[in-house]
Order: sequence, then structure tokens, then C-alpha cells
Amino acid sequence: MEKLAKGLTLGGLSGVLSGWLILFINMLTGVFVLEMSFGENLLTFGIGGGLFGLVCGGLMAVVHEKLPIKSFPVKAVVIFGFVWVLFRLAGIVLSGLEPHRFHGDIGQSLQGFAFAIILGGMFGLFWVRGKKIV
Amino acid sequence: MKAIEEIKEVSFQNHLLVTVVLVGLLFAVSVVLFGVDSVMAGAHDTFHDFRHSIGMPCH
Repeated sequence: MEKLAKGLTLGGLSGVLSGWLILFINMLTGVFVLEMSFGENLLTFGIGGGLFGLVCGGLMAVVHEKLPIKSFPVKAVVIFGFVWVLFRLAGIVLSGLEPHRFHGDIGQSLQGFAFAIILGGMFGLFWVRGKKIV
Repeated sequence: MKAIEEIKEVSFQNHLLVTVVLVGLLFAVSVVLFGVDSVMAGAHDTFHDFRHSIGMPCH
């Protein structure tokens, strides 16, 4: 239970930070032309990133001991990337079911995968650093 | 014997709680990532920019 609480806390925190980071990265790359104001995006990217981080952090807390990888940050990157890929695959299924509503974009997908990797790395570093402090 | 049963019960409750929390979060993030308006009114428009920026398919 303690590990789940730690996973959710660090996942939520790193998710909010990564959400904001990907907002700035998107503003630099211009992969998607943002339609909402900066203030609105700061809020929605924080909430969206935080929720994604909560799911991955909770999952990490449950499965990390079963993974055959030594380094914790590498484990986090693998799991976070895997979760993003699962959602992307679900998106592909939705595109097949409702092609007029859901369209994928390669540039946005690459940026999204980078988001998951950054988030996983950040979560892994927070977890390891937290362990050292405690 | 009774102590073992109590431990098992607590362990089962913990696992159940973890599962409920994770499934609930998974559901919430799915609503955000796919903009399911039928679950949360305005989910599609509210998280439109976020969804595109992290590569999820959208119109």
C-alpha cells in the first residue's frame, strides 16, 4: 500500500510537470497548432499529464518488482512507454471504427511517445532520489 | 490459523483496493485521452490540445 501511494504521488507529480513540459515542447515544435489560450492549456495539460502519470505510477508500483530490468528509471521508461503504446493502439482501433472522427498523425505520435519517455524518466529519477532521501 | 485467515483477508482487501484504484484511474484517463463526451460533457473540447500534443488520434 505504501508503494502504491508513493507511485501515485510521484506519478501525479511527474505527470503534471511532463504535461507542462510537453506544452512548451509543442509550442517550440509546432507539431500541433494549439487552439486554446496558454492559461487554459496550462490547466488541461497539467490535469491530463497528471492523470496519465497517476495511471503509470500506480502500475509501476505494482509491477516493478516483477520486471527483469535492474535500473529503476529504465523500468519506468519501459512501462510508461508501453502504456502510451497501448493507448495509441486503442486509438488506432478507434480510427478504424470511426475514421471520420479519429485521425492519427505521425509527428504528434512521435511527440507523444517522447512525452511518455520523458515522464517515465522523470518518475524513475524521482523514485530513486526519494529512496536516497528517506 | 485465525491469524493467517485475517492476514489473507487484509491482503485480499488491499489487492481489491489497488485494483479498484487502478481501474478507476484507467477509466478517467481514457475519457481524457479519447474525449468521451458521453461520460464527461465537454471532455473532447477541454482536452483537445493535450490529446493532439501527446499523439492520440482526434479529428
